[in-house]
Amino acid sequence: MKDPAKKELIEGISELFENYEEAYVPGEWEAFSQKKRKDRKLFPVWMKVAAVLLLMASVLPFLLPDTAEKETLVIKPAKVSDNKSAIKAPTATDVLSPASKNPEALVHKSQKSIKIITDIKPKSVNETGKVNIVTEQKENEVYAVVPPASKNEIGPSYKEDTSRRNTVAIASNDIRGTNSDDRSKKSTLDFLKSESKNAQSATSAKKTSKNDQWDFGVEIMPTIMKSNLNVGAGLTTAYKLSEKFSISSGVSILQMESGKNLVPDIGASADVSTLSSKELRAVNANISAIDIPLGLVYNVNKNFYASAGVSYFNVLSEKRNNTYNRTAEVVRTAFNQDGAAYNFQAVESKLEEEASPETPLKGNSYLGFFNFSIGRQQAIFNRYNVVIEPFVKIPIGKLSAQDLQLTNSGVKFKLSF
Amino acid sequence: MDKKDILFQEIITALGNRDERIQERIYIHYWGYLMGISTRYIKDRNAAKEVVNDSFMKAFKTMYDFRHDHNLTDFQKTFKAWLAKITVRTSLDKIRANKTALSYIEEYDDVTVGYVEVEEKLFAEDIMKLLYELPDLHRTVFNLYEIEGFSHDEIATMLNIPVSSSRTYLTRAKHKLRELYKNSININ
Repeated sequence: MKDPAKKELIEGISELFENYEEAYVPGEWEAFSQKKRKDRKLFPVWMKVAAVLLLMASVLPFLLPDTAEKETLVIKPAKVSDNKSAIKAPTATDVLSPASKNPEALVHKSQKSIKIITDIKPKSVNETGKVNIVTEQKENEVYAVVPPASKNEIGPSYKEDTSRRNTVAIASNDIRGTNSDDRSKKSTLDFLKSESKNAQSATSAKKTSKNDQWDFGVEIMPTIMKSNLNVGAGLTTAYKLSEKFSISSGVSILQMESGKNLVPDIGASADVSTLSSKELRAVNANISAIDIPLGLVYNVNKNFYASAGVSYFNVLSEKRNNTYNRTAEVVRTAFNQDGAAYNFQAVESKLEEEASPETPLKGNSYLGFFNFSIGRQQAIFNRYNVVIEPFVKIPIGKLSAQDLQLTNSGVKFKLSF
Repeated sequence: MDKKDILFQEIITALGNRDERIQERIYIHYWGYLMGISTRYIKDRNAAKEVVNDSFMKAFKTMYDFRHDHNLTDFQKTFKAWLAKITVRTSLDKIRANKTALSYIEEYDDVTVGYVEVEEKLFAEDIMKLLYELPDLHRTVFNLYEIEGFSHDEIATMLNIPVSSSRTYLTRAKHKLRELYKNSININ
């Protein structure tokens, strides 16, 4: 049986806890204010993350010495072989010059050098062509003097020569072609070509040196969200891991205005018995945030690259506005046909905007976004690169659960050096 | 003007002047109330204290923009409710952070205890012990609905669960509480 004097348990619990307070424990404020002061002294979380990234980036070159070494090794052989042929050439030419040797010997050398050229295949096509032309000319000259039979006899013995000696022979032929007295216009052109090629290889070697593995830049990025146009700016850095891959990071400040319209629940509103109601229709937030991206860049070729990564996101300030649909019962006065005034009740509905005191994002840090982008870079004045990079940022974790649509995309305009 | 009114008048003035010295008085005045809220959600007292401190941190950052119409009575109510709301949300965040999701429920036999009268005066400590025996999610829904006064729609959004689940968990929590209360009286 229900006893009206006694409360039901659940009702009793609700009342008990409605204004329930514990007694204040002395010393709590002191502990709190001390902790607060400590927190203030320490760097904010985003600064710590930036420091860690910077540290990682500066330590990376020392952790990856093998990669850097390999790169220089790849370039060196080309350089060295060029030099070798240039240096050794004069002595070889002296020894094998046509004036000091008999015609037969000359024939053998010429024959041999042709064979070797086809076997070894020098790296540069131009060089091969050049050597071929010169030696064939010599061979033809000698054919006029020496009978073919003797050439055939001597040929095989030279085939057994070691490849090391043969290399010297190639070099001697090459140089003889360019340095000899009957130097033609064509060989001058070849010389200039080889010079310019040497210069190019020197530049490429310079580019791969350790100093040039770092890349810094400034960027500005207009972004478009679902309904608003925002803008951000920042600094970027990239470290080249290999020819194709590099790690990119940076820091940028973003100003984002985002909103979301809430679809009213028709079923729920039909049940409302009172005529006065206040319904949340839209949320609009203005956020200033620091974004620290970390990404892996794949260089498709010299001009194009693709990048994927994540962003650490720290909200510096946040302002929210809620738009309510306020429905209120009002009394209106009207006049009937006789001119008499009468009152009638009406329902008035209007949209009201209110600043919300809630700032659920402010001061919080998140692993905020997945970043995807593709970029086109163009070198200007040798040292600088202008980059145009369309990107998409997709919120993850807590950010994606927010009642705001934070997915955004835009174009980064970057000047790197 | 009684003591409380003087305090609230001082708080209003300090908020207007952005005077940080008022933080201490606010902290001392509301600490017990916020602890009362956070301990209903979080069993571990140290964690509950952390929630209260985090809530004060959040409140102290934004309270200078707190809107009010300089009416002392209204201000008392709205400011207190605002602090309570922050504490509830911080508690939920804490629960979420400690567990992967607020979805795990230890199953117990469904009991149907429809009506239980309070035999004698209820004590917060005793009821708190009963609340701690409920699964986290059931206790959270009970607190949010019966004490904080949120609707099932709001609870569903806050906890990311269907509205029907919110209703079910509430019913189960109530039945279980009644059963636990009855048992505790019988033992005594």
